[in-house]
Amino acid sequence: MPLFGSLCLILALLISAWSLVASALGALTRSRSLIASGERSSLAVTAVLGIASSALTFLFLTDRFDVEYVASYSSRAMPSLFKVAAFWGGHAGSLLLWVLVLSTFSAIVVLQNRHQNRGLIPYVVATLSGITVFFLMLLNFTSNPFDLLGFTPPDGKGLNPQLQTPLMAIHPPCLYLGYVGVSVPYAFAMAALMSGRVGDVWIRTTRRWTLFAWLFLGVGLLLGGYWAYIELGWGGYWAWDPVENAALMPWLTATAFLHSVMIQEKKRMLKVWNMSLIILTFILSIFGTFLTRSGVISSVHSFAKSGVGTVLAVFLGAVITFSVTVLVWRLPRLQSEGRLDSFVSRESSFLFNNLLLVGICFTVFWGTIFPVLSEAVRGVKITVGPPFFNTVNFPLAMALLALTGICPLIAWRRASASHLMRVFLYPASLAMAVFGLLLVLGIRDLSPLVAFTLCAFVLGTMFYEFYRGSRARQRSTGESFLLALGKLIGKNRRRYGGYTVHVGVVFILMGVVGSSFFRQEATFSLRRDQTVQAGRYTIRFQDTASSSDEHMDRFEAILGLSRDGREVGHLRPGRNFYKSFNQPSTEVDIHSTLSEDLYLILIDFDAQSGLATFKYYLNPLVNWIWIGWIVLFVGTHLAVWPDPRERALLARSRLIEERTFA
Amino acid sequence: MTGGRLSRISPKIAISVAILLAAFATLVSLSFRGSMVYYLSVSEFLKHPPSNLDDHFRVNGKVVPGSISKQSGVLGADFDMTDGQGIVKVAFRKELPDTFVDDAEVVVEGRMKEGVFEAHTLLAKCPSKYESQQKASYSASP
Repeated sequence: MPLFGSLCLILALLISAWSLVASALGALTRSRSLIASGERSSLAVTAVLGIASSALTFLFLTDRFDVEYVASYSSRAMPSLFKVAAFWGGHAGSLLLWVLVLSTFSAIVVLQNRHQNRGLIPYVVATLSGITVFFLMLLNFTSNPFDLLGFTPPDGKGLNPQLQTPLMAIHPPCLYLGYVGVSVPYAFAMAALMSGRVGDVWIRTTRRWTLFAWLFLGVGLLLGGYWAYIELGWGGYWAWDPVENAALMPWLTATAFLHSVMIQEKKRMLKVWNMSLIILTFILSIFGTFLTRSGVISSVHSFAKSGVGTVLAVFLGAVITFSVTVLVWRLPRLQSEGRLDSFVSRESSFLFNNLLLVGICFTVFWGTIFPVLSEAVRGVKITVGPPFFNTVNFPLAMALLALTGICPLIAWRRASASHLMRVFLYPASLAMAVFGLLLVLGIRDLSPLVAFTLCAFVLGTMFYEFYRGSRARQRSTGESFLLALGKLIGKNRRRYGGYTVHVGVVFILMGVVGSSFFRQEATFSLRRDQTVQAGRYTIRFQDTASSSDEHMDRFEAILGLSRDGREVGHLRPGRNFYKSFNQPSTEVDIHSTLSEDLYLILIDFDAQSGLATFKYYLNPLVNWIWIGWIVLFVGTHLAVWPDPRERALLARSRLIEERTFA
Repeated sequence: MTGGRLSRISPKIAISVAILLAAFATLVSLSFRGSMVYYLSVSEFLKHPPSNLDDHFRVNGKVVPGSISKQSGVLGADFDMTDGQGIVKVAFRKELPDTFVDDAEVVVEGRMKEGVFEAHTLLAKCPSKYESQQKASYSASP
């Protein structure tokens, strides 16, 4: 079976190399048979990699510890779910997952485009196969998950207990769906440049792919943050660690891209900018892969110094050279057909939105790679901490938030003053009311004041947009308000899906601001039946409990919790001691409400004196981060749901393009 | 490359973009200077502690096995940290992460005081997916 798996990987490499060659030659010579062969080969690669991945899963499930990779990440005692998840627990397996996802996406692209985009497809398949070839070379020559140990240990090492949670099982695949998903719009962009078909067909064709990749990168970020929050026991969810930044950067540029393509679709402007953004997004997603594996940048997460760093760097260099060359070659065809007329127009608000997002991305990039740069230039490593990221990004994020509220209210091209007065009245009044309320509540710190006021403004705008649209529809059709609202959204899914996403983003920012500026924490020691006050909560240490099974010993403290004198439940923070890992694990317990989380950690328990030491964090509004992501998730689905209007626009663009190229 | 595009953007917008960029650059450089910290290994730190960035450092190394000493009733621990060449004594007085064990890779931030490095933050490398030390231990076994 391991040998069979290795053979599959070699076979996949050969077929995908052929797919690259056949598609590239087919595109140049316009040979239908070569193009078809390239497409069929790319389907075959998916099948072969599917078999290889099943083989690896089978090896995990059957405890084949003579395979080094299985022995390193699985053990007999692990539940089957985690044996399956151990597939991507290590470097080699996660590479295999990466390339499996990529080839599956390629196959879907091929199947979707059997009868459309024929002028682009050979180039698309060639680009995607090129990427596949590279990752298969990495798998075959540097990190093969089917490598044998040469002996059979009695049991495997097992997956680290902190990673044995369902969240950790789905977090990496989500990130990969995002990282890899970016390849599809990138491949279409390259195909557009190479074929000269640089109209908006490639953009409209890949719109849903881009949204999909963007959503999963985001969900990956969310799950990582949420896991850190409930599992690691430091009360936070984001630390500006290089690994987190690596996933954030392509997400930011993809966000910029999603916005700026609208300008190209509507106004045929910013073509070079859009190309640059998608190239940048793809490069950053490869860079992210590079960052998490190379060991170049140290992080709290430990990396394998697997030696793939240099290889990935070379690939990165090749991608940049190739993309920039093709882009420069086609510059004459990327002339803008419109003009940015007015300062107060939707176009310019999109422009500023893009500058801000790229600015945030640049800040994150600069702070992340600075240690490497300073070591190369000055011979000494200098790092910058979270304060840098926070001070620079906070004003940028606030400007972005303000734009989110302003943009839907101002018209395309040029907005008139009286129109502006009318539409700004309600959202601005709401914002001022919230501002006043915050002052009354005693908040004097400028940053959160501004942030919450802007959040209120944007929410007001969004509510007003939904309301105004539904009322207009109600007046013309005589439908009930709710029906009008439903139909309004149904008929303009992209627009109102987008607004819903913005509402989600506002919720997330509310949560971030609340939990960053108003967090309280304290360490305290209690004997049994003693109490301590934490904000509005009274915490009483009641009892301890311990249990034990074959994998771990568990010790927990039981604390009664009351708020404003009323009982609200129990918290049971504890410590697990995993026998096979010889490592304790703090198990936090959280009392969650919409207004705040009481997050409790057991630090120490001295059995002799009966003194237990705890730490609590009061994190206001933190749950709005997770709620915001759910809203964002729903909104994105609204926006990607097939829409007859979008389809008609795409068909029209295709027709125009076919006529140009006939 | 941008010439063609810029000519299609009104001067008003071009100027405000320029102002924004300037403000951004100022913001970056100002906050950057404020948060720079030297990141050194134990022996680099001992050999040549550069001092133009405050006397505040970030030092990485490994926990010397057996050196961790904890007092009951006091948070944190005292331990020795090494990179194989030099050793520095570290005192940390906050709650310790689970990953802080003998031989763990740690990064501490703080300053030297009377021969002891007083750390105000301590990171111990958390168990990530890409762990490969296990590989080494397998290859070493018969």
